Amino acid sequence: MQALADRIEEKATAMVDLLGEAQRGDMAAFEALYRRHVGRVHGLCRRLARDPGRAEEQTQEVFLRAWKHLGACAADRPFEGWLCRIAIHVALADNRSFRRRFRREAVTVDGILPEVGATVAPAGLALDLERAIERLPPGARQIFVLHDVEGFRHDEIGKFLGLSAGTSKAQLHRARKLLREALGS
Amino acid sequence: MTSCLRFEERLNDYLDEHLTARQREEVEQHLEECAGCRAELSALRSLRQRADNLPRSVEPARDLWPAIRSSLPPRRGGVSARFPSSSGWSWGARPFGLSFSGAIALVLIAVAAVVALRRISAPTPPHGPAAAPRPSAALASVRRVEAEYGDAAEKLQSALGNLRAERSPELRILEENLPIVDGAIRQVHRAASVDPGHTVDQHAFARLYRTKFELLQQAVRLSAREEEEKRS
Repeated sequence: MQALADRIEEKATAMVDLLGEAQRGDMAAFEALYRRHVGRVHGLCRRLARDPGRAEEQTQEVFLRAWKHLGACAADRPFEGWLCRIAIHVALADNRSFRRRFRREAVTVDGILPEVGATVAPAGLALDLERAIERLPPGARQIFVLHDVEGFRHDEIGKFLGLSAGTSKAQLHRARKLLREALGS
Repeated sequence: MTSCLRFEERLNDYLDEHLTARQREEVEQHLEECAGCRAELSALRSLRQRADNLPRSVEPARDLWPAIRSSLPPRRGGVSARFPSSSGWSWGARPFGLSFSGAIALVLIAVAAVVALRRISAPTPPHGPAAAPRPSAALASVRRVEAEYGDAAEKLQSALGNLRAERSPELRILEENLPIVDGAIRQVHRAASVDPGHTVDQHAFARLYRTKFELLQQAVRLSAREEEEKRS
């Protein structure tokens, strides 16, 4: 148990060091932070965006913004949580802008959307769920991902999306219903 | 089996622990009597468990770092912290000197950047409707780069103007090349403004701004050194 605590402490210290170095303008330290967290950021963007190409663009944007605002990241708070919040803001804003430009998705809001691109999970049971999540209508998908996959509360989701907690809850229930129908469970 | 309609919402709230103690008790009492709702709750719990088990980390299909790296501006607190402020140069940290060959190398970089960017920003041939880029995307790219570098470049330009040392040949070479870089920047900006279908390579444009930034930085350092030497 002590060994585990030591490893966690060591990891946290290394992370703070990297963050400090990156905050002082060290590009190599920032690259190390990127390598460590890109999967987490991309996973979040990928599920929120539905489209692989846009998820990659969003991931790039997240790291550009993180670099720009690195000074605002407190060393005593989890860097990953800070980064994920940037990712959520970037992905949701881009999704809104995308839907404004291309209203195609809006006509299918009442049901499961047609499939787009490759799914997130590599294989197995999760693949069906990933595919079903991708095909949810945008609003329900975003809320399902933020609540059931990422573990955010409805009041937090409401702030991200500019909705009431009640609306977030209703969309979550709808998403679960659609998913169960799609998965036959 | 179907669940009782009036409990459908309640089961979601029960699962998410959003019920008061009294409501929870009511649901639990109903669950004891209703097999349909027990099955419903079990299915909801299973879905939530599967969602919870999904991998949080999904690596992108390609390495995104090279593209990110080429778009990163210098950080304030890093390179930018060494900018001369409006109150003047920080003489505590004496700026390093610049050799004549260093000045020439920078000029060559500047010229190469301008040539490359002019090639990239040349007017695009007409495309069919399907191939046309998004309107204003080019201008957005240009503005994004300018937002990152414009302020820092302006500060350096202003600092350079405040340093009154007699211009050495090295400094003159650097200063004479700045308008060339500025001209290329204006050219890209104009093309992006007047032609919504114009494409701009944001990374190449950022490189051009970085070149301008480096030219200015070296010019300020050189000028400051010459001024200090003249005083002593």
